[in-house]
Amino acid sequence: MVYDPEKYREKREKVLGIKKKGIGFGTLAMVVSFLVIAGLGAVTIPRLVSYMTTRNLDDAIFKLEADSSLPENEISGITSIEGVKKIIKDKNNTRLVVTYDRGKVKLSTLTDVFARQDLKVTLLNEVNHRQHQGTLKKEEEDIETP
Amino acid sequence: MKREMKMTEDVDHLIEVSGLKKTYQSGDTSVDAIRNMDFFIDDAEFVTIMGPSGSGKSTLLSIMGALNHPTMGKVLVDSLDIYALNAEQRADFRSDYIGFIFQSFQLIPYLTVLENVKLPMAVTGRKKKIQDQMAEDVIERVGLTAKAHRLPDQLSGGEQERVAIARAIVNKPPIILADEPTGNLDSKTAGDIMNLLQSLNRDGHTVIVVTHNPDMEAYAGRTIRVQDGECFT
Repeated sequence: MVYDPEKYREKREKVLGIKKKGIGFGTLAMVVSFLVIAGLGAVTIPRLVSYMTTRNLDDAIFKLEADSSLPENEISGITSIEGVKKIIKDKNNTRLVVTYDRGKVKLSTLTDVFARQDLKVTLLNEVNHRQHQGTLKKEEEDIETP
Repeated sequence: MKREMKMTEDVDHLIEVSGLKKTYQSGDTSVDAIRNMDFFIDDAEFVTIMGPSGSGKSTLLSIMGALNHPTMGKVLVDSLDIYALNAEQRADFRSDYIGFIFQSFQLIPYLTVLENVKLPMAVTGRKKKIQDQMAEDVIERVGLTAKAHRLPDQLSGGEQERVAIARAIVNKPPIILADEPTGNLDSKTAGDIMNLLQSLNRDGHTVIVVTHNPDMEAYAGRTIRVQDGECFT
């Protein structure tokens, strides 16, 4: 019987280590797993990073008295206090939001600074920074929605 | 890929032996077990390799079975140059292509018939259930179903030879190499074993039997005679 090169093709390919065409189950499972993990990572990691960087932050909301105004050099003075992340004034220059790390700076330190400068401010609220951001975002959405 | 295409065009036989030489070195003396052999064996042939003791026939069989590196020459099996393969590929080659049957059976004495037959499948990665089924099928094929759970020393010589044959064919190799398979058997049992090998050949296995017994020649389709390390077909 004459040799038929097709007869033992599978055995021959195995011996020579010839890979079959197409994606095997193992490769497919690995690709799908990678995509699922990457997808979950893309959603979870930014949130995790955001949480980690803002978890100790609080916002202190101050109201300026009617006859008071906040000079720019005072703002930079407060910003330079260790633990103070940022200060935002509203458009009417009547409210001041100080974002600070409660682990590094106390609220009384901030009020002392205002007192030293003879600035008349009233503490309206002290709230978690993320919670405050969420409230502001919701308010913006409510305004945009007719 | 280029190599494969070339071989497909050139090769017409399942086994091709060309320019084969094997020299054993012992100290300062060297012995030529095989001097210069050229022959071929086709797919599904039943071939006996005959010759007196020391003629080189067992060496030839071990070289064809990828067990013994030749000093010179080539052995092509299914167009594979088996001694150009690396060790791992050659092990795969043996596992996939060759079933060995030895004169002294080489059964593991503390394993049952079924366990002995399943041994070559240990490296195949097949599921246990499939391994059991395949082993049971070949044990039935050699007529030992009733004794599948016996140990080798609870079997006769002929039955042990059948276990060795079952073990050789369990992975469904295309080629069966048998080295004096009837050497330890009486003439009637030897005839039964040769009939079994003949029926395996009819199923499509290429069977190559090394023997010095001229009575075995009658079972084969062709005989390759070996003398003083040379062959005559």
